[in-house]
This record gives sequence, structure tokens and C-alpha cells, in this order.
Amino acid sequence: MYLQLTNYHMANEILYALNEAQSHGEGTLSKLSLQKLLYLSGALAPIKSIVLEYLHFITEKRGPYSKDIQNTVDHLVAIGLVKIIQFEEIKGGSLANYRISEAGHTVVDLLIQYPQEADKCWWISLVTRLIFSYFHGEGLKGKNDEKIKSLVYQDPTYKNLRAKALFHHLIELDDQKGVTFKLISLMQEYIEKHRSNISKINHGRRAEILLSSFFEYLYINYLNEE
Amino acid sequence: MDDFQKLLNIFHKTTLQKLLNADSTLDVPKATSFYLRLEKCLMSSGYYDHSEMGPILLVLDTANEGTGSDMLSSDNMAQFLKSGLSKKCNVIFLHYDGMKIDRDDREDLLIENPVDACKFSSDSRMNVFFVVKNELNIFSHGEFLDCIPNLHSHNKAKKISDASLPVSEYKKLLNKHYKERICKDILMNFWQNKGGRILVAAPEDIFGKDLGYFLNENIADGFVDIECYNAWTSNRTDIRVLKYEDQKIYIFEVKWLGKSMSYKRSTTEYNDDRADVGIVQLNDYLGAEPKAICGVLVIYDARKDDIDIKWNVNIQRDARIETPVRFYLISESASERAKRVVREYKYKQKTDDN
Repeated sequence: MYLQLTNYHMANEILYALNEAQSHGEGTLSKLSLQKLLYLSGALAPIKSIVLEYLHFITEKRGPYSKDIQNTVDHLVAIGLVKIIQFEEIKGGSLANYRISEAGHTVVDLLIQYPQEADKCWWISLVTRLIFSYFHGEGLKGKNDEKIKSLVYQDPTYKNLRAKALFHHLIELDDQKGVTFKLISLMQEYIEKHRSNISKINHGRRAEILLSSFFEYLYINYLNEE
Repeated sequence: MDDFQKLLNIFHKTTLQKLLNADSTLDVPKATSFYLRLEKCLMSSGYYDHSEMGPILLVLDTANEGTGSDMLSSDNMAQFLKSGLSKKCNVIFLHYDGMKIDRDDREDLLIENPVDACKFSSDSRMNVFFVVKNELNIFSHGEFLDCIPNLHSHNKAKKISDASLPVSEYKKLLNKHYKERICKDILMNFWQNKGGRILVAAPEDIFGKDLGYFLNENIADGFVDIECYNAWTSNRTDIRVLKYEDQKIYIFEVKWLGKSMSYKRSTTEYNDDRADVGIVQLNDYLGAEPKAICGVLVIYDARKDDIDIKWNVNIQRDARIETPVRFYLISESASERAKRVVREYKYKQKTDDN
């Protein structure tokens, strides 16, 4: 089976997420977690001026969803880069847990030789690790899937659409008028403007701290709603 | 409050962000996980039920791997405190994952106060978390970072979202602090002898720290410079609020009047001239700070009589100094106050009848 060329970049991003997930907990990601994790990676990517492939999501009742992600995962399973660890059919769909295979690891190691891919891998790994960190957050309820979902629900772009009950609505993560995009721009402008008063840190570290602020924002908003 | 302002509050005010900003060598996700687990552990019954066995100093040692048990689990923390070990050595070295790092050279180390905790942080070049009952003080490489006076009443969600007043409304905020924290006896430890109206030694540390923390939580458009909580390691006693938008500064100087007594029974008494000292200090601070647009002297008055201050008219005031705000400290208990009101009411009724 062959992947279409346009899907290669998408496949890489899935592999990066699963590669990082392997060092945490059970080393797997569920269908739902993978969707939400890649959504957050894309929504917050302007912090580091990284453009990821998954830019188009649809608002579903259980959060933002991209059919492309699921199609690509299915391809990756078919060519042996990703393994299905658990599968269960449920009413109206299925549950599955995925783990990266040894061959998948090798592919990641080769991909990150390219600086642009190394950047993307770093970013997705960082988002994945932060998500796993917040599993320890006091007040976040349910299993890990639920916790990721709770954080993603607080993403301002998705939250706005959800509040208006705009389901099956297209979310374009590269839309500069999007709420999350605008918030990131405002924060970047603020930090740039007051750079002399903010601790002297390099560009990469600044992106990490800004990303961490956004995660804290998602978490605190969740606590407030609770 | 809009989302941008919320984010600014998070960026400047949450303990985790302060920690990450202060120490650029920290791994962001690992430090996040460590701090979230630490908070959870200190709020668990495992810690709370045995917190009288403290204080304890938790040291984040990122260079060494842990070999002992996971001290950020509620059960292990309870076991440690119950064992009495904290009275022999209360310094615990932990890796990011909460695992204890056994250090033979530190087996008899006892750190009993924030000053020593700060010094330890400075000497070891590490991030340390000093916990006394429900109070958590955090130091990074010898610098004071944050203080959470009460972990159980600390609500970071509220801190970010309900900070509803701009700093320009400082009078309302000072009144709110006085009514909610001082009059309602939430801030309790400033009287040495309440009936005799005698304060503890150096009460300005208590008032200043609490007011600084309160302002930080309740100001929507700025943040409090952390130096103000740092009365034990710095000579500066003022509270500085920096506005996000234009970085303009509001300076609050806290003074007290009346009598204070140390545990060795040495007394200090301050009268009107102490308020004048506050004005002189404000003049100095404002003179040295071109970005400052407002200076306010806040006076907590423990004198016997609730009377206005007689100011020294010869002291020139910087034009940015606003009218000082004086709060008379009420030493009557709620029941005494109720009895007095009833007595006065009865007396009034009697005289009206006559």
C-alpha cells in the first residue's frame, strides 16, 4: 500500500506524537487523544511560527476532529509504522489505542535529520509532554482521554464555536482572525514590547514559556467552569 | 475580564510561570508535572493531617536521579511526617518525578525559617519549596519567587479570573483588604496582646506581605513586584504594582502606629512621626522611579485612640503622593463588639425613655 505524497507530512506529525507518547504511561495514544493532541499542536503552533499540516478540523460534539488524521493513521497501521494495541467496536464507531512500531521509530530518527522536521517533531513532542504533565493537575477529572478533551474544550477558538452550537463547522487553524491565533499574536506583541522588563531568555525558551502559559490558561479556565 | 488579560495574569502571576521564567534550565513539561504534583501533595490529607511535623524544605534537584520513594505521593509524605524524621532532617531532595534523592551528607540538616531556606537556595543554586503548615514559600537560586500564604484557601482559578479592579481603583482595594482580611480576623497573627492593643514585632512584614498578595490577586491590569513579599531578605518594604499596558508603577508604602513587642518582651512604639517617615520614604522611592505615577502611604493604626494623624507640614510631598490611607485596627472580638452595641442601644433607649 502506498501513501499519497501529500499525506507524507501528515504521517510524520502522527509519528512524532506517538513517538513521544511511547515514553509516557502506557506508551499509547487513543484515537481521541491523537485527534485532540494534534489539534492543540496546530492551534498553538503560531507561538513558534511553525506551520503544521493538520490545519482543518471540524467541530464535533466531542471536540475538534479531522478525518485526514484518522485516514493517515489507518495508512500508517497498514504499512507497519503504527500498531493497534487495543480495538473495540462501539455504537456508532470504534475505540482504538495506537503505539509506534520499531520501524516507525526508525522513520522518526531519519526524518529529524531534516531541520524543518526536527522543529516540527520538537514542537509536537513538547505539546505531548505538556499534555501528559497536566494529567497530574488537581481537579482534572476522568481518564486521560477525558482530561485531554477537557483542556481542548477550553481552546478559545473551539470554545466560541461550541458556545454558539456551531457543530460540523470548519476550523481553519491558519486563519489569522481565529481567536487563538489572535491571542497568540497579542501575547507575542506584548512580550516583544516589554522585552526589557521580561527575563532575558532566548527565542526557543520564550516559546516554551508562552506555550506553558497557554496550557495553564486552558487548565485554569477548566477549573473555573467546574 | 477578556482572554488576553487572563493570559497576562497567568504569564505574570502564577507560581509555575514565575518558576519557569526564573530558571531557564528547567525542563518545562517536567517542571510542570513536578509543580502540579507538589501542589496536589501539599493539599492532600497525607500532608495536612501531619503538617504540624513540619516545616519541610523540598529541594528540586534536576541533576541527580531519585533512588528513594516518591515523596509527592500523599501516602509517602504522610509516612515521612509520621516517622518523626522531619524533626531530625527536614530537607528532602527530589528529582522532577518526585523520587527522593538520598544524600548522606545532608542527614542532619534542619531548615526552620524562610531566611535559612533562601540562603540554602542561594548556596545550593537550586529551586526550593519551604512549607510551614499551609504556607508555601518558593525560592529560586537564592531569589524569592512566590508565597502562597494558605494553600487551602489559595484558588488559582479565582486569582486569574476574578481580579476585577484596575490598580487606579486602589482605594476600593485597600478598603476591601481591610474589611475582608483584617476586620474579619482572617489575618490573625499580628496581635501580640489584642486586649492591650500590642502588635507582634515587625508587624509591617505581616501587613505588607498580606496586602501585596491580596493586591496581586485582585488587580486586573497589573501585577505586584514580588520584592514586597521578600521583607526578610530585602531592605525594601514597599509594594510596587506594574501595569501591563504601559508599565507605569504604583508604589504603596506600609507603616504601622502603636506599640509592638517581641517575644523577648522588647517593645517599639511608633506615633505620628512614623507616618512622616513613610512620606519621606515615598518621596525617595518616587524620586528614583520615573515610571512611577502614584505613591500611597497605607497606615495600620494600633494606637489606643482612633484619632487622625498630625502631619509635619514642613515635609514636602512629591506631587505623585496621594492622600494617605489610615486603617484603625479593631481589637474588640466579635462577641465583645456585640455586647457593647447592645449595651449602647439599651443606654440610648433608657435615656430616650427618660
